Amino acid sequence: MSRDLLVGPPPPGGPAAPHRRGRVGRGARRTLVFVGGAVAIVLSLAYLVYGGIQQGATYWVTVGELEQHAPGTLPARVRLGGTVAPGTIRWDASHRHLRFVVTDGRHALPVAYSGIVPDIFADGRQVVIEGALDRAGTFEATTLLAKCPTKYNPADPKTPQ
Amino acid sequence: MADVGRFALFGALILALYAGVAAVLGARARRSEVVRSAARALGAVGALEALAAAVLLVALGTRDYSYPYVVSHVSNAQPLVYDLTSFWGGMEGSLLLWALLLSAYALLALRSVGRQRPRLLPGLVAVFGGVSAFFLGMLTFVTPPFATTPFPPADGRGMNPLLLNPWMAIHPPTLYLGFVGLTVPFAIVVAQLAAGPSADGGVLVARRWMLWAWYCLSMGLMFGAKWSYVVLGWGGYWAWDPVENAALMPWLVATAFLHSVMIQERREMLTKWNVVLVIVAFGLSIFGTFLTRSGVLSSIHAFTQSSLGALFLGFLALLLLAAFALAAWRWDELRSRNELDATLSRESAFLLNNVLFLAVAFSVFLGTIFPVVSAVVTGRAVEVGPPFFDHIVVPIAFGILLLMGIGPLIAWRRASADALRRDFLAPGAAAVALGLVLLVSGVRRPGAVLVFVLCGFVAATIAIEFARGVQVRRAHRGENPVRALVALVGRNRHRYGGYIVHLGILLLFCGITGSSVFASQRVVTLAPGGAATVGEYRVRFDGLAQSTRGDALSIAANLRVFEGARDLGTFVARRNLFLVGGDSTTDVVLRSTPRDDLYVILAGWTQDGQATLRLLVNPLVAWMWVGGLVLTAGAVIAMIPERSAAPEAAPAFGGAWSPGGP
Repeated sequence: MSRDLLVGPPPPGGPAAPHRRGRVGRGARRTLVFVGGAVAIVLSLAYLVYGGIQQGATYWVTVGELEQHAPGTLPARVRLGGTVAPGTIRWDASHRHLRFVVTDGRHALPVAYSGIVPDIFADGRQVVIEGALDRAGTFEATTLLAKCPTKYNPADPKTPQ
Repeated sequence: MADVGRFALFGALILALYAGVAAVLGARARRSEVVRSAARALGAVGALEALAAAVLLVALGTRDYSYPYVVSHVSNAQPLVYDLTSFWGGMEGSLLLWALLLSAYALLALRSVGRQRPRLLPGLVAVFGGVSAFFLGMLTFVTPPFATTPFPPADGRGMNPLLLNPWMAIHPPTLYLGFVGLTVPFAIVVAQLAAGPSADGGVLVARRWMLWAWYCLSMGLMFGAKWSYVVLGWGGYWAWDPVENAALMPWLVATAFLHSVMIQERREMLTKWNVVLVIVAFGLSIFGTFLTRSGVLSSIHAFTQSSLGALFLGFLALLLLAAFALAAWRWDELRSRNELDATLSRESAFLLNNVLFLAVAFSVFLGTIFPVVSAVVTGRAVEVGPPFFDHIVVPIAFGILLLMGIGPLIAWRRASADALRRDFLAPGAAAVALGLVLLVSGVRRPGAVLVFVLCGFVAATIAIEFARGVQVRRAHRGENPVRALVALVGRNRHRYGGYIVHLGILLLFCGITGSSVFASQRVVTLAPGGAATVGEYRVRFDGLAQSTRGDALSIAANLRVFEGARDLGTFVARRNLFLVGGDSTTDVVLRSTPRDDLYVILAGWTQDGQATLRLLVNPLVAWMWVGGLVLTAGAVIAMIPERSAAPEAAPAFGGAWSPGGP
């Protein structure tokens, strides 16, 4: 901002006469300020996005991939999609801890979970679980999301689940 | 009846195509009677769609199970009102709702805009005809609502019990009013671009429609949050679910537009930018419909797998390509009359506000499509969850909040350091005082203190604006304060309506901060007679009860809640297990006060009568809903057209719009 231009308060918002290129150098300096500002904003957004991905990203895997992967090839925490194998849901006595088997049709994996269970969680429903495999080969889930059942929007009852 | 519906939709499709083509050809041949006939065709499209909607409503209302659509959403046990609201419970019905709302908007827009500015008529008709034709094409060939089955079942499957809730009944249509409403500003801007820039002030005319669409999106988001909070039983109201994001993105871009259009109104700047914002907002509304309806992303709502996705994306690409090509063609004529004068000015504050809103919109977009992008790029889907969004959006929200306080007070064109000191001393002092009070009273979380301090700052600037306006009127006309306030708001509805909307947003910020920073929760397993404390509350478990409610088995935990020594009475937390289909619903205990909400979920129970309860105390949540009401008040005030009575304000655009914004 150049000081020599502050000649009294300008009329607030009146139809201003366009005064471009008022003085040599002013335009260039202003361009510099705005290009600098734009670069700063883009860089900070990129930095935020990078940090966000570091914090929030989780890999999607299938049951088969998780079962067969070589140790160390997948990050510890993953997101897993599959179907609740019918008849495998077991609650503990207090109805707080939940065990079930998730399957992709061919492979199956035992899951342990303690937390809020969505209302639509049931046998045969599609679920998305997030967590990590423990030593014994049980998937310790920290979040459990159930995908909406066909009843939410039953387009075609013949479609296999 | 099914044939009537089918033929109505097919006829509407033909007429919509005719309207689109005739409008373009008529305008090129300069034959206004052709354009007028195209506009009338749009009226017929609306009538035929209304007929189709009536057929569907009758089928739903009479439980005519020869339609698979009815079988899927209606059952004999379901209350009639939810039979009718299941009109928009599925894809076919919601696309029909889209088309119907679009026709209603088109007729309104043609009446008001097309009459006053006949040059815009061909463009408006072409856009409305084209978009209608797309949705009618889907309804005719891809997802026909009037498909029938020869062997109707005796009972339908009904909707998921989670959807049988008043908030869910009004959430989708409100959201759709917003989504579809974004078509009108788009049509106006495209029509203006096609007709050539002139004194018609297309973008400024589009503002009123944008404000309405923005308001509907705000309410739709609010209703969705309320539903999620009251019904889903997880204690939260926002999960960064793709379907929520789908509505948030156009809302953010519309918000940016509503701010930057003020700069265009007052200073004739940012004209290109505003055109781009209108196009992007509409693109995001189609994208949002695509997200919710294509099943491209796994989500609690977006589950439908169909060929719809590719068609939607193709249509979206075509629209954006055409609109941007049109804008590029007129690019040089869209030049702004003025340029930014100084870094410290209201113009640059608004520009920065726009940049921040778009940064949020971009981040939400990126996070929403991240699984798809990463699957294409790396071959493995990587999902970013709420931490991603929180990490990016929270710091930007601080910036937006700060600008909300600076914007109304900073001078146009060039702010001097003296003026800044003078204007911001009082609100700044008020904010610092508030911060000290909070720190002394034991609120120590830095993020929360910062939000409350900024909210105090913004509230103080708004109060100063109101006080100044009232003072001026009192000095000049000797009015009493109340009368002066009413007259002030009435004479400058855009400006003061906007401030009231800001107050609503502040309340929203306070509610979100309170409930996300200061929430406390615990999970306890109690035997009858046992009690647990959470926050200031003590919850005593008085035993389980079992009953049948309709076609559900209901397990109820009887609770008695005390606050200190005060007995707040009995409450029941319930879990309803539906005998058919394996669904369940949760009836939470929700005791709401201005200070906090007590929220109790029955998580589990045992044979010997123990219950596992999840107890939450969510501070300040009630203020979010109050914020929604305040926002409504402000938006209504801003939407009432201003009479061009103010003689001191010279119309900037040939009478197209009476300036009155700040």
